[in-house]
Amino acid sequence: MGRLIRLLLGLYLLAALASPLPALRERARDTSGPLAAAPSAEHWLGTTRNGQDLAARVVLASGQAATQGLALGLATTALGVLLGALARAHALGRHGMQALATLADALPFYLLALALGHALGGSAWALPLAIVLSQWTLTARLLAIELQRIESSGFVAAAQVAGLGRLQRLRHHLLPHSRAVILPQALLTTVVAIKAEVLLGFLGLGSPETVSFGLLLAEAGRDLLAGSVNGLIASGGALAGLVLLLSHLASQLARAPGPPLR
Amino acid sequence: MITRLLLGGLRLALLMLAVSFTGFALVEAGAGDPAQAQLGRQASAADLQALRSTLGLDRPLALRYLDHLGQLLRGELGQSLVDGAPIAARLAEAGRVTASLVLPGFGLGLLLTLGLAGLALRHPGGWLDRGCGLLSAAALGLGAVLLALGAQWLLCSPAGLDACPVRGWSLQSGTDYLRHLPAPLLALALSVFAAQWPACRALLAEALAAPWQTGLQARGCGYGRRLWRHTLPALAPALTARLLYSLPPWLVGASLLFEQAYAVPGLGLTLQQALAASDQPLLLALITLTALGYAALQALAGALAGPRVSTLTPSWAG
Repeated sequence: MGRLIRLLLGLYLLAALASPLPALRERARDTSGPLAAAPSAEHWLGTTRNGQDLAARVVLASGQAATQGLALGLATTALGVLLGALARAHALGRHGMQALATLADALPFYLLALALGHALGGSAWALPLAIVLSQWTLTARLLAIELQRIESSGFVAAAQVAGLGRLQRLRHHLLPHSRAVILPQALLTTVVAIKAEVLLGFLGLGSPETVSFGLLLAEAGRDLLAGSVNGLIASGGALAGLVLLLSHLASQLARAPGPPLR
Repeated sequence: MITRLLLGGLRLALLMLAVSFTGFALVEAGAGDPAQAQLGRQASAADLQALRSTLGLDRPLALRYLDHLGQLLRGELGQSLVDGAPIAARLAEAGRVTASLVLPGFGLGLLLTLGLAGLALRHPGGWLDRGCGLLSAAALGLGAVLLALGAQWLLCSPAGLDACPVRGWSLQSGTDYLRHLPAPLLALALSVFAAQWPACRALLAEALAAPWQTGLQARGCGYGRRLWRHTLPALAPALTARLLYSLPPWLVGASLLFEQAYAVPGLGLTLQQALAASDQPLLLALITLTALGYAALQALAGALAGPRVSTLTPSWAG
């Protein structure tokens, strides 16, 4: 199991590193191949109905999803950590965080993404903005609960008696011991970001210039009706692998022991 | 008690105001200049100004929002810019179509989840329990888009059973409806099962291990009777709150995705068409009403179950 995880991790890392390469991008867009061809030595996963190489498109989409999803996951988690820490630091922060989280949770995510897309004139920033604005709440709430639990520990009281200020306690004790919440949340938010892009891309609301899983699955859906399942198997398999890998890593991180007490 | 109810009502009213204002501001921000859109690029500045004044576009955003709120409260949703049809009637019809698609899927998914959880917990950790856990994790990993396409492949494509059509959803006749239903129903039920299995199983397992179960067992009450007559009724408030909380995000996502994948003319497809055509009044009505209904259901779930359910329920993520 461990080897399979490392292998998958390596493959997606390679895809992320390869995705900015112009040669790969060109091959993914090139329509000169045979139409809807089966896998062959030249086209490992076959081609689309437009004659594009499926393997190149899947590698490009995997790289895009991994890098963009991770960037969004980290940004969203950073906002959640900031607001969660503020909620524990001050009563005003707690009330402010609760009010903001209630509002963010009360707005349906996909509706917010569509409305933001409309408000920003179809800008590519609408989806990232919608994810960051709506998905930070769980991290902030879980972190606030975790910080409250850690604050009641003896070693934090000892640090206070030793003269450490609130910020120092937060930096040296509270946040490092909260990593069992923060790190898995970052990966789970990455999964949410990837799935959100897939759904909006499938609806045709992603950027048409970007070769993404949403676009590939929309194409696969059309190919399916014409009797070709290559696209669905290739892009669906790569997407499911990435999502399951990230979910597995998140659960592993949640179970990992915390740092040694200092 | 009365003070608590009043405070809760006030909080809900404020939340709904904030939600509806956010929706209104976002739709207005994307509107561009409706006067320019109506009169075209050749219109003179005076004509444009006159039309803006007639449409009330020269008034501050807050005042226009109050007007919109008043119209909503009076049930006046206006007419579509595209075909001039009354929006209320159009939304009612699209809502009926959406309900005919997603509610059977939600119901079947829920029955499947509770039924399988009941069977699996007769032998916790047994093959059925582990199999259901694996199926739920796999379906969550695949996501709703892949489930929708997988069901199409299995039931509708020449490579699969080719047993039902993908396009042409209609409520005109029962036979037609039943012919189109199986593929989306399968995918919707699986997506509900995937999302609900972990929490429903945990709730049921906790209740089945509670001390009061020992008393029932001592009186000779069998597993089936304990489950259906005692445990599930005892869990009803917690399950209802959980479902109330998870239903709205699921409905929005499912409506958008499955209506696109199976060309079903419901609320999700109406929203996409309104976005594509920049149909401002229709967009405004759809976004505001959906957001208000969503906020109300979430508040109701929160009132029923408190933060335990609302913070731990995963949001619909495809």
